[in-house]
Amino acid sequence: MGEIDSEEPPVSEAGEEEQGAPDYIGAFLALSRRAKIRVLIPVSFVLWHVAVVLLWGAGERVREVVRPVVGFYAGGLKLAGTWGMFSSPSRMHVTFVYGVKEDGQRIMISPDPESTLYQSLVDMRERKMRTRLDDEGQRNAWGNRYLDSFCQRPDGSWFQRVELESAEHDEQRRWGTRKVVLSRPCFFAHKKAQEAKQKEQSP
Amino acid sequence: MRLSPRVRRELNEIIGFFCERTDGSPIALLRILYGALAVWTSLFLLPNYERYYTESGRLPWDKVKHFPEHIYSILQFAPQSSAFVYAVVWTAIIASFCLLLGVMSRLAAFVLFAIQVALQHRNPFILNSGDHLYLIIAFLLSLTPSDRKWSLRSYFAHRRGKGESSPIFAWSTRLIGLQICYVYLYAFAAKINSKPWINGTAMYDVFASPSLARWPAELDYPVLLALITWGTLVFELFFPLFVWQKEYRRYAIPAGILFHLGIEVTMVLPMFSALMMISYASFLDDEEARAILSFPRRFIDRLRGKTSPSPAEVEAHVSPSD
Repeated sequence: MGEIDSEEPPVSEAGEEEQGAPDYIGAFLALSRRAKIRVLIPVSFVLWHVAVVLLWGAGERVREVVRPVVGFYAGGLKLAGTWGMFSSPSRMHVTFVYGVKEDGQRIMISPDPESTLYQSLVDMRERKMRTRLDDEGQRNAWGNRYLDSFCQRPDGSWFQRVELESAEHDEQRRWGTRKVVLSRPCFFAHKKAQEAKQKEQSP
Repeated sequence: MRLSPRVRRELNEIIGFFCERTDGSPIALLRILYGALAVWTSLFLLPNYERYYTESGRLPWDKVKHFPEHIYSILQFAPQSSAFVYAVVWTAIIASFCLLLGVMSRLAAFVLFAIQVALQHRNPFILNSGDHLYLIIAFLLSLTPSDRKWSLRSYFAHRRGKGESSPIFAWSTRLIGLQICYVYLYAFAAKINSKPWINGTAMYDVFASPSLARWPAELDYPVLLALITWGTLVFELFFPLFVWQKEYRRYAIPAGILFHLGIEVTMVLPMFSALMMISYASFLDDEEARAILSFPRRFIDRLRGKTSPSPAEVEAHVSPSD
């Protein structure tokens, strides 16, 4: 990281205040010009980082104002964020992915009711992604392609279609009726896989 | 420009907070714990990379490339290539081991940071706050020589006869500590205006939420739920205030560990709790960090019936090869 380094002491404790506490400002002023620059680089970084973190967390309106200047650091490199975990009302939706076979039989694919402990650890992030699809905008944006990825079964066979099912907690704190919010025929995914296979085999 | 004595004294105190000298033990402890978490996280990318980050997975590139932030992801250079993603995942695994063992730890931390930026922009729909914090800490770790102690680097330096390394300044460790305090205070401020958190019912929804709870359950114990709800608020407000003072830290950190163990057991938030607990190492002073780092050796010595050195003796005889 070049000069931004906590390895080298940025100031000596040459200057001592009357009470015996280190006088960093006095020590800094006594430094040579080059040494001052070496100190100012990490100091500037600390000030910049703290300022960006505070500004980015100060609300949507402030964020929009400062975005042109700090957006690359806070949003692009993701070095600042907001941390309102659990503060908004919890999502009281639950979503499932079902595969429908040729004979009409429905099989729950996600969450997999028969997953082992290892598999459930591997699948830990699946729930987050599924839950995002409660939102209609997200479903319209990438729901179909998401469901496509479930079309092929581990044994190589294909479902006829895949469905996303949602259930909502009602105001009486009961699970409402489950409903299919998105259904996707597996024809497209199957065709795409065949094309990819042909492409792979052709010289 | 002349500063009044009072302003000068206060400025000196702030600078002193960042410029406190340390032998590098707290950041070494943080590096080891973070490195272990990074190894775990990176290894779990292997069974997952195809479904979350490639064209044949859940989210094709054309669904994310319109996000302006995609330019920060190195995966943009070969978005259709699974082999490239696979190589990135193996790079993350190697960097994680380097960080854990203390080999080129700054470079390793920076590589982990860059890979996390890439992966998080490639699939932003599987993330939680823990992932974000994981990335930030990787970056802050890359700014500090965290392998001065308890590392392969220090081991080989010692064997080559290089003497004790000079103390380092704690500014990047302080930034990590401040980041953790900011997370708690932000979470407190976000909750305090929310009605369910004030009337003590918020945890009912949290425990019942199928998207958060590990075993969603509708708990009908209003007093217990209120205690947990308000206890969370009290903890999030007071932890950042007390953890900096040594006499209170011995209570604040165990309280924080219990708090996060509770979240880890009951909630599905990959990485978040583990990362928060690991980050507590940034609050420790040299003596406390050394006592923790030397604990396994003292424990083994005790099992073998050897007389184990006290933390004070350990402090007096810490060598770079630790």
